Amino acid sequence: MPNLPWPTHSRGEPVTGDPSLAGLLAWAEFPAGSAPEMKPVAEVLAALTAGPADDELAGEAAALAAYRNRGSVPRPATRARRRRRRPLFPFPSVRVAAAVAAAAAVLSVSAFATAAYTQVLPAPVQRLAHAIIGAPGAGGGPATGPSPAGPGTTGAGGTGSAGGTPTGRAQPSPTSHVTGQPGTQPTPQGSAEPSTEPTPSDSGTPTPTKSRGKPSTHPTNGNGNGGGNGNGNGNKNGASTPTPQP
Amino acid sequence: MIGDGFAEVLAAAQEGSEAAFSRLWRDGNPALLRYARVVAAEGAEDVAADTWLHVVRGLADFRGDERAWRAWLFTTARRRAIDYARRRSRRPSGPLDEVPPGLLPAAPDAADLAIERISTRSAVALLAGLPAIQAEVIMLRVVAGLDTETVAQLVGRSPGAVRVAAHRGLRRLAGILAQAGVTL
Repeated sequence: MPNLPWPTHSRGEPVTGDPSLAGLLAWAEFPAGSAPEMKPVAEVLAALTAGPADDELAGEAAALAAYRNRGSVPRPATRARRRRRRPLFPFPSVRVAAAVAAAAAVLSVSAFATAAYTQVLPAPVQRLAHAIIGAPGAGGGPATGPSPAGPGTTGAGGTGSAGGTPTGRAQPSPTSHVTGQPGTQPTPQGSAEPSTEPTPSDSGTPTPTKSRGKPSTHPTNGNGNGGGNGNGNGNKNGASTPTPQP
Repeated sequence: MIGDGFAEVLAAAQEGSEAAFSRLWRDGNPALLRYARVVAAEGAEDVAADTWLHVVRGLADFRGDERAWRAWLFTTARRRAIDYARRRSRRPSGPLDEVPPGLLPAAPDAADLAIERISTRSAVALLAGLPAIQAEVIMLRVVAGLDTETVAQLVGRSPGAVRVAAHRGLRRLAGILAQAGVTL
């Protein structure tokens, strides 16, 4: 038997073998051959298993009432908890991913709508936005910004061409700042002739303001400065009609 | 313990016999109340009543012998005692110095309880002075009459741990009684 440096039982506790303790627990009485110090313990355990006192039977009427009404009482809460529906996204990572995806979708829709209302989308997409969310159509609608034609569109020496295409579709020109320069090919007949090439004042809503030239629809003898009015009156078949703006 | 006639009593109670249910209740409630006085102290009455309410609701679905019946009864009581402790911990409580001294509960001294003749209530109070797991295991073994394996399942420990807790509790109880000089 090893000589352990620590005690094998607590100080002050009687040393009692496990068989007698097991006997106490099993029969709640003092087993023969047990240590005498366990006799009070056996008395305590016997008192625990004594017959019922009056106060221990006092709640019988309430228990019987519950038994009578057992059909009307709701089921225990634990069963209700078991029937609870499973969440749509049971795992936190899936919930986070779903939230991020939803936020990205909202942001995308918002950005698309903003771009559509500011008319910065490509024409086909802008038309699509016009059809779906009522955004301004491609090339139409109220322009809140400055005219793309810019100042000097109809200035002296402007070509004065309406820029309408033969098909009648007005197309914007990427060279919108050249119209203030004298025409490279002055036409004595003025610019009342329709031009098949796109010209800067081709936005469909020509702006006659700030024109230093004399607006006129009559052809004049050009002096190199161009006699066109630059208002797009020379549109032969174009669908864009000049809309004077205040 | 009801004994041999338990199956008939249980069947009659499940079919609606109040007399049969009364017999089940009178057999089980004293032990249930003593167990609840150890694990739930002043909430013992509430725990016992709540336990019987749950037992009544599940009585029709119960299947088993008397041993299983007692195991179910005390398992339900233990859960109700845990619920009671949770509710009590959530409830705000004022400091004791605001309570008039006359209303404070008089904690029974273990020695006084041991010196007087051991009654059932005194024995329960002695057990309640032990560490919680030791007291609960002794109550389930002695009062509920459950074996070690069933108690182990009920308290969620191994049978060996249950044996150790029970033996330590009994040794501690013997030490308390020896210090009090009890000679019975």
